[in-house]
Amino acid sequence: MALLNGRDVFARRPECSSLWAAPTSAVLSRTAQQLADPGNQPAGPEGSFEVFLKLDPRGTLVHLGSLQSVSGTEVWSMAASLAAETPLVIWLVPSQAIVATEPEQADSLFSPGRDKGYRDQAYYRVHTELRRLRRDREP
Amino acid sequence: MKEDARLAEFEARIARDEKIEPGDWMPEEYRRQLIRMISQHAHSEIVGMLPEGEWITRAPTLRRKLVLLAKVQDEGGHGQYLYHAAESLGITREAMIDALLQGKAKYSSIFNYPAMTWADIGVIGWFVDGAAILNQTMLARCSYGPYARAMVRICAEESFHQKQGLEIVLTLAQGTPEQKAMVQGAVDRWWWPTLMMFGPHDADSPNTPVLARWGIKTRSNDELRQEFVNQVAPQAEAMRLSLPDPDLRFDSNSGDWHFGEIDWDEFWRVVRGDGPCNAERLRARRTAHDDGAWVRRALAAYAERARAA
Repeated sequence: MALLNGRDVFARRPECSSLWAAPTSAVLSRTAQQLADPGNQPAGPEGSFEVFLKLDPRGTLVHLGSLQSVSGTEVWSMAASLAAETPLVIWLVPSQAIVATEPEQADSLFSPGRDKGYRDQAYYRVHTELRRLRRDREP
Repeated sequence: MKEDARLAEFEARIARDEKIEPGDWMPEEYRRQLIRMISQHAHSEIVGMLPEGEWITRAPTLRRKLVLLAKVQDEGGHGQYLYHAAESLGITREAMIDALLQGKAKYSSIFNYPAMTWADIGVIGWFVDGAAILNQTMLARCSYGPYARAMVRICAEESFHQKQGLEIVLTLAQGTPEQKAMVQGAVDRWWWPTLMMFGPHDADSPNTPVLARWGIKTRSNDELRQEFVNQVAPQAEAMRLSLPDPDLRFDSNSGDWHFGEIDWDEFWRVVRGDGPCNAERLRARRTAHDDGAWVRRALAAYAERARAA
């Protein structure tokens, strides 16, 4: 249900081939500001976890890969080192907390959106029509 | 770091055009203002589904029905993005929904007006979504990361909403005498309430100074309102639709369309709960919430059983 809800809320336009969902409570996050205070970092998750970094303030988080449990708070610098530049935000999510769509589900979940061209603003020729009306009114 | 130093650093970050992310230090007043704005914005999307939702079953063609369904579905999604963004500031979904259902939270008062004819659906897209795009384009540059990013996503989808409306209006405005009269009637009813969407004159807007100072509001209500009129008046003229303002005229010196004074009594009456549909909108939301209680109970029971297993 979380995946279907995620699809309906976040993936209505056909850009998606796979969807992951995890409970908010499972996500450990730090901003660049929080990471600047080295004495105040939580320890990382146990076991295998996925690393998401925000590198661009306008962009979304990017999945950079997985790490195995790293003891204590070094996890944050290890996660940051996966990118070439200092991240703005780091999210760590235990791999087992994530539910994901299966590759064979991708077509039935996401392809219906591809038929719906009328959801794209480029489909509408309204400004062309307005220009034509103005031209027709010119003496 | 002392409070003053933290505030100075916060304001310096905003001056450097940095985004404030969930987890960063922020003044309590910044958090409070954003929770208010973002949750009201979310409520507006959800309540906004109501006047248009009524016309899904009465759309004149299958294509119009499909397009309207997609628009209303988008609005549900937009409400969700915004509730998520508000939650990042520490308020819960339950608290926000509760405030709405108890009549304590506001939403954009444009949705307290009824959609009386099919032409209203076109005019709502043209006017209301058009106005929303201007406001949201500004907010896409705001200092709080999650809100700015939600706005970028919403703006992309909102363009479809506005064009969908304009397409309906274009069709009706070039149609039969009955169709032309219907769309002119809708224009006459929605014009002034749309101008009110931009809020009071800035001098009368109590929240504006702190929102401007902290990079949330980067353009004034009056500026956005003027831009909207400049955009729409020529479009109305091209379609031979009149706007219900005897003072409306183009000023070739400033390049602006001068327009008449808004009836602020009506604005404050509707904001304070005395609009045509305020009671009906609240009733609809409460009914939807009550009718959906069994779904929430079922999901909670399922989750509990999974946890216990």
